[in-house]
Amino acid sequence: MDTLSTLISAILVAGLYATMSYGLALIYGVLKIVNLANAGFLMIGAYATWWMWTAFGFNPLLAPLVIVPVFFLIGIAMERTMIQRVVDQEPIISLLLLFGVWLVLQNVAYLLFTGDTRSITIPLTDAVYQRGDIVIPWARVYVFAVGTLALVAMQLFLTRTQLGRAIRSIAQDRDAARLVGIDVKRVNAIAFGLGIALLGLGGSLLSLLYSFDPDFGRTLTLKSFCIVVLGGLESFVGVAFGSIALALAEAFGLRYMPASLQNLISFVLLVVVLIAFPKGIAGLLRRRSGV
Amino acid sequence: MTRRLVTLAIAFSCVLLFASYGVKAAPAPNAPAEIVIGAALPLTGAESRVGTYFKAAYELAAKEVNDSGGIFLKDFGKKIPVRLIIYDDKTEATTSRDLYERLAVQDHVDAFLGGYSTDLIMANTVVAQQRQIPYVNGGGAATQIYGRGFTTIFGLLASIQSLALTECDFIEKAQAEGKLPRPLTMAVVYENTAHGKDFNDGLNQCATNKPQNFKVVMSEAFDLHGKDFSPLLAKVKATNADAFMSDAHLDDYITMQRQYKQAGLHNKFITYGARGPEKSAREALGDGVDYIVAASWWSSKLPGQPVKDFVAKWAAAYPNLSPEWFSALPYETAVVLFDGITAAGSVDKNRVTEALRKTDLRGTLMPTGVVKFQSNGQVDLPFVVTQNLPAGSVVVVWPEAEATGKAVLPVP
Repeated sequence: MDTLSTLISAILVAGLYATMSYGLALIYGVLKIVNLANAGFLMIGAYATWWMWTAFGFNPLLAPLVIVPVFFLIGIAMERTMIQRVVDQEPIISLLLLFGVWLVLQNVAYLLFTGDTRSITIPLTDAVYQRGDIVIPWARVYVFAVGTLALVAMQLFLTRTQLGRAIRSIAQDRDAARLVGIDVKRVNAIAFGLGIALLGLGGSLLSLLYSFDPDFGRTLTLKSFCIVVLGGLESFVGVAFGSIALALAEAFGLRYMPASLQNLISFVLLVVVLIAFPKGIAGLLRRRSGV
Repeated sequence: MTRRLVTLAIAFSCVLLFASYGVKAAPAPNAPAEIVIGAALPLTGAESRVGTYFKAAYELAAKEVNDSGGIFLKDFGKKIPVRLIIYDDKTEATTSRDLYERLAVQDHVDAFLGGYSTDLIMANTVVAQQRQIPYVNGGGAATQIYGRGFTTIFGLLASIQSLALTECDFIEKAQAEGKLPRPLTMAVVYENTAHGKDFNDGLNQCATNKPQNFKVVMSEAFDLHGKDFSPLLAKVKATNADAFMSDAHLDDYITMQRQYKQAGLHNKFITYGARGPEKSAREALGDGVDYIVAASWWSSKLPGQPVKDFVAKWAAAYPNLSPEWFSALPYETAVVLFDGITAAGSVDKNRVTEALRKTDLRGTLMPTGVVKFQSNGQVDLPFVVTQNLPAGSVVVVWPEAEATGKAVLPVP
């Protein structure tokens, strides 16, 4: 297998990994809760795209324009009705609550869509750019591009806007943020809404690459945990680095080992990172630069 | 005279007495109110689509038998209705095993109908064997299921090794016609289950026995119900094999074939083992499933009146469910179990098991029409090879005697 081809493939996969992990990182960073319903929202994002496409002929490439605001509102409603009540309690409470939400979402999907494997097939999903041994699926390029756009937009939002700075300040020190007058409850709701919107975006983009059923997202969420730990639990740029690290490890690792061990790579990496540098790549970089 | 009359009267009374005593000594056994048959099926989870078909097929067979009054039990001289108990195992092996335990202990079933997919059947058949309850299935083909010396397990799916060997026979014919190269280099990928290993073993057997016809250039397992097969497919691409030989369940087939197309792969021959012609795959991938060759246990395209009758009654009962092998096989599975109970004339579990062992059912839906079990409890029936063609058509291409069309090879 050509090294260049593997490298290109890994970078495109990294874009996909980053897109599906932003939501997890944002919610953990601000609310300090682990969103175990991550897979459920990815799955619903994929189904929403498929449903708009099959029922109304809505172009799946444009589906994020609808999904992101709708999921944002769903996230806010969920934070106001559920998350707010458990955010300051023992971590196990929010873990169980969100695990329950995932199961509910999964079963609702079974009821609405049955267990059939669904798939979105449009000209872009099967189109490839081929030159010699290098094959680049255009759908992966699209997902990479949108994922990168989302990263840049989120980074600009977090660094250049008042609300973004409020979110970052809560992520750094919740009590200090409260002391300087930041409305923590409001910011929590917005951050959770954004996290769910990012998951909806991730699910929508994943539906262009994968077939899905109500169990969709389970394995991908485990990868997201690995990426978020790799990247540092509260950093968007760290998530991008974590995604690249995992994608490269998988792509080059699988040249020498069976493909069925793909998931093993992420878990070995997770264990190594947790032991060697628990603050992730971002923490490591900060330590190196003495910040 | 009077004395003679008295003697006759006493003798007659004695006959009556003995006659009545005889009736009391061997009373007619109480007939059961119903014959209880249980199954756990994957009605939710990864295999829920197939599980739903199995449930529908079992219910159709039970309805038919109940509409005719039930199963005739010779011991009681009358027909007894069937009651089906079906639970959802959520496509989980441990849940499946627990539910079969519950069917045995709490529901006191007389017999089991099988679940679906190899790993679940491997788990739940242990209950049938431990409790000596007859178990007939149409959802498990791996030789491992039948290679454990279990005595109460019967299966209507021929082995996956036979499936692979059938595909080799078909390929040899295509090679003889100059449609495929000789030897055919094969990239083999298979699900990491007993089912997949049988497929891999079968193809390796072809390559070992006929090196002039077959050469395996890659052989690698993948996880069942996977979501991302792109690294595996990248390896397949690197081999430049003539044939892509995959063994996958329905959901993996749809996911993998989609990524196969996205990876820009193209092989002269492509198969997913038993999967290929399913309507849901066509719905999900459109013309992305064209030219896929499948070796299946059954096809609605098979000639013969029993198949035509079944297709008609299935369509009448379930207009929204297409007639697939996973509708015909479970239906026939239930028919075989009912036949076994009828032959036993009783719901005694040992007698039903013995009757099933001697099954010799003719005029069935299966290829050749005959159902007979080997000593390990599995049938040995030929496979039907089909190929998907453009515009949604499916043709039977093997065995030649039952072919309804010509195979298009190499894949254009």
